[in-house]
Amino acid sequence: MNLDSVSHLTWHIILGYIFYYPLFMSSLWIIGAIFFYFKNEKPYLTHLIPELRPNEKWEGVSILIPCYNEGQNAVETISYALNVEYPEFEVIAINDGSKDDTLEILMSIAKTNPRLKVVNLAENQGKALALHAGSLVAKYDYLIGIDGDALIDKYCVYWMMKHFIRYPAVAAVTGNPRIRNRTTLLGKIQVGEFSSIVGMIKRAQRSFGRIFTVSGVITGFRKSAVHEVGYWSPDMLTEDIDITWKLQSNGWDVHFEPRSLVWILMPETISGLWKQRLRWSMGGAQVMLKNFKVLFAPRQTHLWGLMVELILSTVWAYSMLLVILVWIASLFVPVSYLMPQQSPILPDDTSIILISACLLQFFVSKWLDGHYDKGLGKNYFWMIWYPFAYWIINLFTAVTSLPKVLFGTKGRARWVSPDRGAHQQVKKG
Amino acid sequence: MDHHQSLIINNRSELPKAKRIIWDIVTLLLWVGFIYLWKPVFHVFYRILTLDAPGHEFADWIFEEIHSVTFINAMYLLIGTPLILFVLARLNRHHAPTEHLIFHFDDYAEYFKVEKESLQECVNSQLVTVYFDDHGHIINLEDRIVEKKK
Repeated sequence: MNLDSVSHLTWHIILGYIFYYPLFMSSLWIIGAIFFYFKNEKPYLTHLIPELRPNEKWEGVSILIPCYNEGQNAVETISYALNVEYPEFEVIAINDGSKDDTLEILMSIAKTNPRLKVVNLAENQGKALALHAGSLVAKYDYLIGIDGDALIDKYCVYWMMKHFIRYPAVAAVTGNPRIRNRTTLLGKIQVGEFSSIVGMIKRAQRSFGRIFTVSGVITGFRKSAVHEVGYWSPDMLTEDIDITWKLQSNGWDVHFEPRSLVWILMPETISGLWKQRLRWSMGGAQVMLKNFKVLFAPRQTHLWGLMVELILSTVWAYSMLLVILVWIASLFVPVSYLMPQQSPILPDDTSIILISACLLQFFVSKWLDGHYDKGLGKNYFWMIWYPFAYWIINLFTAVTSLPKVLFGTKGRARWVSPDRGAHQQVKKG
Repeated sequence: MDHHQSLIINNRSELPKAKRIIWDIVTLLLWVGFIYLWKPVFHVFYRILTLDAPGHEFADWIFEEIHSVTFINAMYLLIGTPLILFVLARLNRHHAPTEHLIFHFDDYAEYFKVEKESLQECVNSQLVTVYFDDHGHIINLEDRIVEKKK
């Protein structure tokens, strides 16, 4: 076999990989998520709260809410947290050196609510260290972390605690974030994405083994497990992905509980979305580089699947970029057998299979999460945008993140004020 | 779960009418374009439906087409991979060391290098201030709120 035929074969393998990898993963996620539904969700659909077994009892819980410049959301978030249904709990709001009136608002709520504890960090430290502080002064051995703009569901704590009480090896339980702001096209697409990509993948990953990441916006932790692995890492961009890997590589289990709902705000501008996705992607790249060694550790075989998937996804993003670049080059200069028959970006008669797989995935996830988020189907009309526009954003954040992590400056991850949707921008104006 | 509906923020009616109509039309066009891409498949179906041949000949033809090597391999992959992953997930259990499952108040105080009495006061207090050094280590706790001068 000469060099030319090797190059030819390699190019066709790349093209095949670009087509078949997402198709294969989509099928795998659908199968895994449906299995998870019948095993873990369907038996509890009629339950408002889970039932305990005779030797079990509900343990106390500390709800940690790190807040940075949450003056606009603090009252609503804290009120929802104080009103959860659960026998024994406290709410700890951690003001992380906010520049607005967050601290004053928290203190005024605390005056009339003895269950609310206010922790003030003298200087802004970032979410990871805010969680350290909250965890240290927490009264109970179980912690539930939610974001400062998230509204926790009334029965969320019960569903999370069921896992901790029943399974001693469970270190963390991640909940089911549902998007509140559905005004703009971006908001509506993300509603589908959170079911189809976030919820479905977590279900499938639980069926097949381990979870790639908990959702930082709603996760319960066993305090002793978090202590054992050295708490949340302040230098990681996404402390939630990092703690998930630390716990699982230490032999702990991480569960997903779709009935532990939390209602969240998401970006509704392109720049806000880009910043958020780039941070997520960079966090994934950081974790990939930090944990690459698991592939050479016989005791870490339970994490091999996750690491292989992470690497394959990164390779896919760069393969796609390569094909796009070759296609652009082919518009100006002849590139021999590399000349793509069709554009890799513009849809054609082969990409309809990928688009259909994506829409099928949305349809299945609508059915799965429709049990907890009524009216989810109304957003399906807008889901056609996902394969056309969102794939591009996610592709480019994936490609951009790796060099930024490899060659960028390293240091403590600090807060940024996120885009919380069109309704808050309107109010500000 | 009707109370969930009140949590949804949908101020679409407040967006400019022209903007709404444009996005509706563009989205509709995307769906039409997507369905149009299925034209070759619809064309094959149409030819099958309008072809004047016995039913069993169609069945044989479709059956032969489906039994291509690629299709069988894809099915093996789709059934085999989840099965292998299911089995591996259940065999592949690395358990947390049970002797480390429980930690106590003293362990937490020692880890963060804070005095037990001071920590206990802060655990019992409704208002707490935490001080960190430049390296992210907790250096002091107070059972009251100390506001930084703005």
